[in-house]
Amino acid sequence: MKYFFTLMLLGMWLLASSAYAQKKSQKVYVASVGNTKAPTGAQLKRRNDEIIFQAKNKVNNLLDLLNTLTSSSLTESERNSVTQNSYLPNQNQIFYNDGVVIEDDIDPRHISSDNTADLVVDRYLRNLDLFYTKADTNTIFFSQVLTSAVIDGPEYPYIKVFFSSSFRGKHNQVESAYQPVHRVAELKAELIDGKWRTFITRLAFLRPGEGMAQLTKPTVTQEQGPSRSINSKLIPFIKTGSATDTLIINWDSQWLKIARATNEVAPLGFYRRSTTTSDKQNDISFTFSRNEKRLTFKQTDGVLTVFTKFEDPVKLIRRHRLSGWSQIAAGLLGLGASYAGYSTLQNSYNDYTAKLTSLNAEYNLWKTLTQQSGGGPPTTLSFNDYSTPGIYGVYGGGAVSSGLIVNGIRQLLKAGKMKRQYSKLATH
Amino acid sequence: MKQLYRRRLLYCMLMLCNGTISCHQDPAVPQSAIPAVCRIYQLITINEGARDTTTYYYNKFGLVEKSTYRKWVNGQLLSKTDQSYTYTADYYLFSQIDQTSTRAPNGTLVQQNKGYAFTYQDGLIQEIAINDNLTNAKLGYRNYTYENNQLKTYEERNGSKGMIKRYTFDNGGKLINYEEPNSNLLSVQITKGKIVSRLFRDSTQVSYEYDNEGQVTLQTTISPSGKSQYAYSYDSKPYWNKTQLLLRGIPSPDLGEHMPVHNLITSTYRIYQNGQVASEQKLILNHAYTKEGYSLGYGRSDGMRQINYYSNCL
Repeated sequence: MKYFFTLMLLGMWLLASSAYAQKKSQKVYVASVGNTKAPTGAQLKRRNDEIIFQAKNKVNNLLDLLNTLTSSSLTESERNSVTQNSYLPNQNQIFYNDGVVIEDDIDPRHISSDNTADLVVDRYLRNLDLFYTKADTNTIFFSQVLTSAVIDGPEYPYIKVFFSSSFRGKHNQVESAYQPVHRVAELKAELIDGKWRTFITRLAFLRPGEGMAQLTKPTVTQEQGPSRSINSKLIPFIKTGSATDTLIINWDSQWLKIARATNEVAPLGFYRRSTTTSDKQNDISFTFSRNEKRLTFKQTDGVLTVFTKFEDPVKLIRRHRLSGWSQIAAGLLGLGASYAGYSTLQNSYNDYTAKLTSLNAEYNLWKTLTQQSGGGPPTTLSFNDYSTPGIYGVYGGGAVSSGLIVNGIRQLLKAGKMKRQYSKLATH
Repeated sequence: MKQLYRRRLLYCMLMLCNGTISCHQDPAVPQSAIPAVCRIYQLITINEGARDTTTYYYNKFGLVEKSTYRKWVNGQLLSKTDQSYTYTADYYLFSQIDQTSTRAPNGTLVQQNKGYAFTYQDGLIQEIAINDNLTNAKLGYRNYTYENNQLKTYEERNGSKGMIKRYTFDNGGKLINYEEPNSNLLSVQITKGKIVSRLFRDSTQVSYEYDNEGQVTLQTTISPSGKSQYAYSYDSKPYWNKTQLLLRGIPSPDLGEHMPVHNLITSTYRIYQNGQVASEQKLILNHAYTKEGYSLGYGRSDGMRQINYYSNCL
């Protein structure tokens, strides 16, 4: 028993040091934000009205483009020309360039951001041509077209147009029927030859919560950044529960930079290191935890969004497997060592008791023959008393080894689950 | 960071495995469980010109494996006896050899070599056969019979198995009958397991009185020639033979006679004439004792002395 407290203290020290390390690994980076204010003044209002008008027209042009490409009256060369004109510079240009990414809705199974594929514009339009059944009349319809306010971005104003899209034709390979989906087009406004023109920079499914309120998303107002660029690699983090919302960040001991954020999940810019999260109304913050593998974004309204460091699923699965097998091997080794230790102790104890049994038998016989009093048989220690403190090591080692095996199995199960999820995603 | 904790945990486990598991108590196991108790080593009796010495040697278990007896008279070795004992591995007495050399008054040396063979059944002695090892003649037998593992009879027989003495015991181990055929003994009277009277063919009668521990306190002889009496008294200390082990499987029955339990301290001899004490000789034995109460010897009032040596005695 005299080693029990030593072991307990050792356990407490491990727990305490882990907790301390956990606390120590938390880093908080804070930035002040301000909402993009609506333009004031008549000139700006006229500009915004014009941009809104152009944006609505551009979405109508998009609808026309889709119906044109699905019309049975066009020749292949005409279709090719229409497709290219949609993103190449010309009077009919709809998309900003050929790198614009569109969330696929041609496959009728793709009905939300969580279940789609990102296609560049040319591929999207050619897929429409290939897989969507041709018709003499329009089969694609937009409704409930709404625009956001014009937002002044760092370089250009931009705007979002929300609409409901309805495909009434059929996919020629997938039997599922189309259902109406909510789409959002993000358009960039450019002043060309004195006239405002808009181009679609993103076409996607409407995400939950991505509404008008999102359009007044705050931007980092803090203009001060690090005096030197952050000398670390850009690391992707993925929003928990989402397959597509990601942040690309890098950081050092003083600054954290949100370099890219899909779907505006967080404002871009620099965040300064702070000792605590700020309670100021205009402050937002990022907090690292779990050895910088977890990033929690706190918005001005206190809403928390959790991101997890993105890791290569194959490597992650491999690492989980390696860790699992290693722990199982270490656990089995530990159990083996504990068993060997126990056997050693038991054998040693058996030798000890055999000697004492023989001695006691001799003493008991002697006692029947002696005419004197005095003496006494040697006392025999119990196994636990005899094997102290080694037996505590055996029991402790057995418990730790069992824990390692259980944890190893958990890691393998986790790896298996991840592999199934990854395979499922890969097939899509 | 996580790897650091894994390494630390592994290090702790290795420490536990390497350092702790191999550790256990190391209680001292004695070479022998037999306690080092007091044991008689030598008895020396000196009486005027005569001196005899008896020495005991023991095996590790504490059983006598050899004893020697030497008797000198006026500085000349008159008699010597060496007794050696052999035991089985489980401590049953297996054999005994007595070698005796006695110088006769005419100067010739008389030698004897007796062998004792012990026969057991179910751990109880059945027979002791005494053999003359020089002539291979049977000298005698000791026979034991049992009832419910209790000694029923003990017999001493001659070499041709003729009865010499026969003791019969009740279930409580008390003597109930004593026979000594082919002797002068006519009858005995036994009370409470003790022979209180012997009547011989010549009408001599010897009566005995005992104390509660079976020691003779009074021995009276009435013969046609007169009456004499011995009176004995004892201390309360253990007699030296209590330091020795009993023999396994060989009972030590109360034969209805004197049992040495304590040390004799007075011995009075009286001669009666016409019912009156005509003469009396009283011998007083002054003992010295060890801390445990064993006699270191005594000086008797007539000058006789005994010196006792012990091993492991305080």
